[in-house]
Amino acid sequence: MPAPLLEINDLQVEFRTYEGAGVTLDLSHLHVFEGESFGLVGESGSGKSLTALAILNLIPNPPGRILRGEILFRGRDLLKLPPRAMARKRGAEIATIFQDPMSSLNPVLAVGEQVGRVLMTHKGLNRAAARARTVELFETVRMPDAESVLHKYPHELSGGMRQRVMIAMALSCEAPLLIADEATRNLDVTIQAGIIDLLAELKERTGVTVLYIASNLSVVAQLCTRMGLLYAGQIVEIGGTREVLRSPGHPYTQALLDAIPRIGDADKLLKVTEGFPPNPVALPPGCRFHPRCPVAITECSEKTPPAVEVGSGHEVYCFKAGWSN
Amino acid sequence: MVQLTGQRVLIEATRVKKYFPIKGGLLQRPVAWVRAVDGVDLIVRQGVSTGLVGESGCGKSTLVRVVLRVYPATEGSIRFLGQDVVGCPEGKLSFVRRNAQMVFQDPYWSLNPRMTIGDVVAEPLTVHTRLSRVEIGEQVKEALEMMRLSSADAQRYPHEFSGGQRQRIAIARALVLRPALIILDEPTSAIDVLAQAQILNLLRSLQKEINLTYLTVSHDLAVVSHLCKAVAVMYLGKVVEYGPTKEVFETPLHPYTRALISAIPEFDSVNKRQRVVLTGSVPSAIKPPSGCRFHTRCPEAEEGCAEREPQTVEAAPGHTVACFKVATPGRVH
Repeated sequence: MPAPLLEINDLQVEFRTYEGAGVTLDLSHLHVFEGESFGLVGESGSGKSLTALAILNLIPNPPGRILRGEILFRGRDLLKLPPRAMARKRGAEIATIFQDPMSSLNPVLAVGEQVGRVLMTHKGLNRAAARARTVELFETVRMPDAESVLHKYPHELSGGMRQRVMIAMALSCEAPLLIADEATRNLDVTIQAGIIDLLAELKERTGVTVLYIASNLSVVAQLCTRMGLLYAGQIVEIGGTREVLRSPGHPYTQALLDAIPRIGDADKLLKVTEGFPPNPVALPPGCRFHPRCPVAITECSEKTPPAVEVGSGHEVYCFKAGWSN
Repeated sequence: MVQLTGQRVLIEATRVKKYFPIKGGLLQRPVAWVRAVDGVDLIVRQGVSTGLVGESGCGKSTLVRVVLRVYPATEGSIRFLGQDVVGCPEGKLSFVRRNAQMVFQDPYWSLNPRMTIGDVVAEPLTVHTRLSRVEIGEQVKEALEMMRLSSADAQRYPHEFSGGQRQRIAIARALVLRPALIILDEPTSAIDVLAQAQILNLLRSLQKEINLTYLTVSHDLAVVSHLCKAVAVMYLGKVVEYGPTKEVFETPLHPYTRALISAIPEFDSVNKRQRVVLTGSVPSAIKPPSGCRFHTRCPEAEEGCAEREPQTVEAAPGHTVACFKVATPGRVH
């Protein structure tokens, strides 16, 4: 078994709002192995993007604050790094594809310039070399007519092309860890399919470790070998993608799978989970899913459920783990 | 076979075109036209909820807005509930405004943050009816309850609700006038999957309970298949295939429909569907390709496709398609 490239232990992030302080992220343990694709899935507000920000040490403070925990990257705790050392890691060792390329790209700089600056900053290339490398990168991400795209501004490109620019930028420093935060969100299915194919191909070719953050199970199903599910800031289930999706051990995972509309069974109503995720300033005691859970027992509202191993490397945080089997 | 005929016709659009000018030069005269909708026929009958699907920029949202006279049509005729929409004077459009209500994509933008939920839902009633305040209050309560919101919520403001709840508020506002048609423009694409399931089920039960008809614009084919009996697939301003949803999705006739369906991400990575890869992006609607507009990306294109435009033919009862490959009427897979 390869060593974990990234390991998160006992991480708690607190946010202060007018309503009060709330622990929005509470990760007991999460690791990503060198060379794998790991998918982190959750609804909005579940803490998945916050996890990415925590790894990059970019949580805005205030209102956010890391209460405790460690984030080990190649064995070194990122949270203990001085700001300048952390800044050197971002982009060079931990690259990110943010969602919504329109707001992540600079609207007044040509995209070639934007990718080139990353290369000049982190790789020390001169302008000519940076330009040549940018063209190469654009070709790697299958950008049509790479040479002429250099001089285009973000608004002149389609959504799919903008996302390809983001991916080219993330690849530019050959960082060992790539965080993809909803990289295919808001793209048409046909364009999304192309980006998914591209990410899978790049993974194959470069062996980069990918932490894929998504609200969409099907994207993770296609790209990731292991996955974890977040609910209200906590991991509820973690394991091999195929095992988790074939035999989900947590009622929340089952609820997510049941809620997805599929073309084949449009005649039936969907199985609905009533209610909505809890407010982080007023979290329910015990298991955070228990007020919505169809199989909850008294224990669920009293104690935090422990991790139960239901298969090899497949852990479920639930008193009724694997209830349906 | 799903019956697509039956009750009264809500929308009858014939050869509808909508061109937007691109202005240029010293005098800001139109120098080119974006052909957003370029000759579309569409009939929506009561009880036959219809989906409009296609990639961004295919003209599906523009078509809806032209039908409602948000934009005037460039050409063609549109009848709503039997009355002419295109030539109707601005002040006489209330038969459209009242009987067609719209639900927008993003409930974070579509609700006024300074109005209470009660006022938001009451507004259509104050504009279109002369009901008393008590009567309005009752109808608002009823509409909120239909969307599983409590009447106590009427005092609260939009920011106090989650995305899924906000979208239900937007639907309650659309319902309150009991319109003949509700337009859902990407109704769940800004919402998480559990909340989406709640909304889809609610919309489906309302369809039966109060005989609602939806015109659903979406790029999510599964959402359309759950809400609509009929579907029109659009590509670059044209409808390329139309028919009963089940039939179109199970036995798609147009290569573009096949590509769209095959692009839907699949769960089971073992039994992967054969994906039809579309090369390149959607061509410009300013200079659409000659002949069949899809020929530049079509995996099955032949020589003639670039020269002549395929006619829309009825390949099976109620199932039409515009493609040379299925040009023989009656040929069904």
